[in-house]
Amino acid sequence: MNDKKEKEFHFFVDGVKYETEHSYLSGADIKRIAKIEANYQLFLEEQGDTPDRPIADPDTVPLNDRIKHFFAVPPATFGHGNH
Amino acid sequence: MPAEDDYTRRSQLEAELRPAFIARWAKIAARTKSSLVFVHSHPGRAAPEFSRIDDAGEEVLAHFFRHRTPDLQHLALVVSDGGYACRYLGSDRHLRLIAVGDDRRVLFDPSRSHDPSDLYDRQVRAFGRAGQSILQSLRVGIVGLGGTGSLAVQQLAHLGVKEFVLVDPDDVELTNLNRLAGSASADTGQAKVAVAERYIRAVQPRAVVTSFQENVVFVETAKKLRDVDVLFCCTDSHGSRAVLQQLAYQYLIPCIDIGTVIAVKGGKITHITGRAQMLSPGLACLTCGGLLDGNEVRRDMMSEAERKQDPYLVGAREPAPAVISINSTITSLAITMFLSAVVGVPSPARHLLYDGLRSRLRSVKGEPVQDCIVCSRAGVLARGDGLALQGRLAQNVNR
Ligand SMILES: [Zn+2]
Ligand SMILES: [Zn+2]
Repeated sequence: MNDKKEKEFHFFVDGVKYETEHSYLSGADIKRIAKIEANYQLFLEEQGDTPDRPIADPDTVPLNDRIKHFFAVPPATFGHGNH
Repeated sequence: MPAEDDYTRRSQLEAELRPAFIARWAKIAARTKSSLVFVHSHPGRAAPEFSRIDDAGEEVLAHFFRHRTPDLQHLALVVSDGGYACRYLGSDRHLRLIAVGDDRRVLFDPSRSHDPSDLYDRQVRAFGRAGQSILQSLRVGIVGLGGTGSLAVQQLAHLGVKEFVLVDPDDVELTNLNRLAGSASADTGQAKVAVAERYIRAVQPRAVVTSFQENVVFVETAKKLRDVDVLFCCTDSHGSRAVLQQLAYQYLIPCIDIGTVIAVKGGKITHITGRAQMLSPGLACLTCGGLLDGNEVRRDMMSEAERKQDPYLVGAREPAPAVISINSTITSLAITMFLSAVVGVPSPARHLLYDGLRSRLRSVKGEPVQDCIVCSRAGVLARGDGLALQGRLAQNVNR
């Protein structure tokens, strides 16, 4: 079974907590762990008035300085086929 | 409007906006407490219906927004050459779509099913069945049930309006009976709203009337008018006008403001004037027109006790002369303006001035002041529940 002690880093995506043993993760890793669809875009919540930061799939994010909150944004799709 | 590179795909069949665009607007919505409306078009001349692609796309968006803006409701709107359809984002709850400005027009109504009887035959001949059914589906708010408000009630009830929200703090006094439509000599001491309600029920036995014997300058009272379709301001106070014009622009509720003056000096009538003016997005507000007196607004917002303590307010107000025929003239002009705005009666004036001494009626049009603190986007326009209403806070002892 998993050794819980090894997963010392954690982060949130859309308010749900996830754990990892890595101190750095890529955007793609985070999306995979949180089961986010590939066409969604990940954002890192910044504090106060600082604009939230988009995290592209290859970007790496440190998880060892403060607890990070991410959110995933879907594209908006509209069309008129098959009523 | 999204720019070209805000789209990942854009074809005849389907369009897709980038997540970054959605994220940006989610943030603006959260910061300004504003609802977002996702608008797209379908080809063709049929009345549009949301497609399966729309359903699927909205579902993920709705899920996202429930998270990012849990206190807000967002909408989806689809347009074609055949009309409109509108619903809460990601749901099948449709809602009415109404255009406000010089007019108030119903563009889409999922529940329209009124079938007027012969009772309104003479009006159907003028407004059409659709027009008459719009009248019968309106919820009208009337503030002030005195000399002009009681006449507005009378006319609206006969026109077929069935839903009323009435607001007036006062009881009938002996000196009101000369001009209070629907009143009888025995009504002294009754609430003015009760007299109005009795009249409505006599004409419309199944009317839905909600009465508040309260002063609209209280925020709690003003809030009760947020969900009416059209407002009539029939009071003679600056404070209530200030509150109602804020409601009109903040909640996009067209408000027709009615005022009459018959002035006497040295035993001679010097003025017979009246004003009927619609307050609605795109039309200048009373503040733009300099028609609100800040000092009077302040006085109306005070309690009796506060007024006594304020060194800058002098004297009590003298009762002004009032005559039913002048009130009837202006109220009738206001009701015709209302008919023009809601059912398209071709009477385009939205600000009328009546001069009884010269037997003149003029249509005027003031330009909205740029960045006006009330009627512009920099003001309260369309802010809805995202912004507090200005008014008195507590319903304290001194009504
Ligand atoms: Zn569509
Ligand atoms: Zn204005």
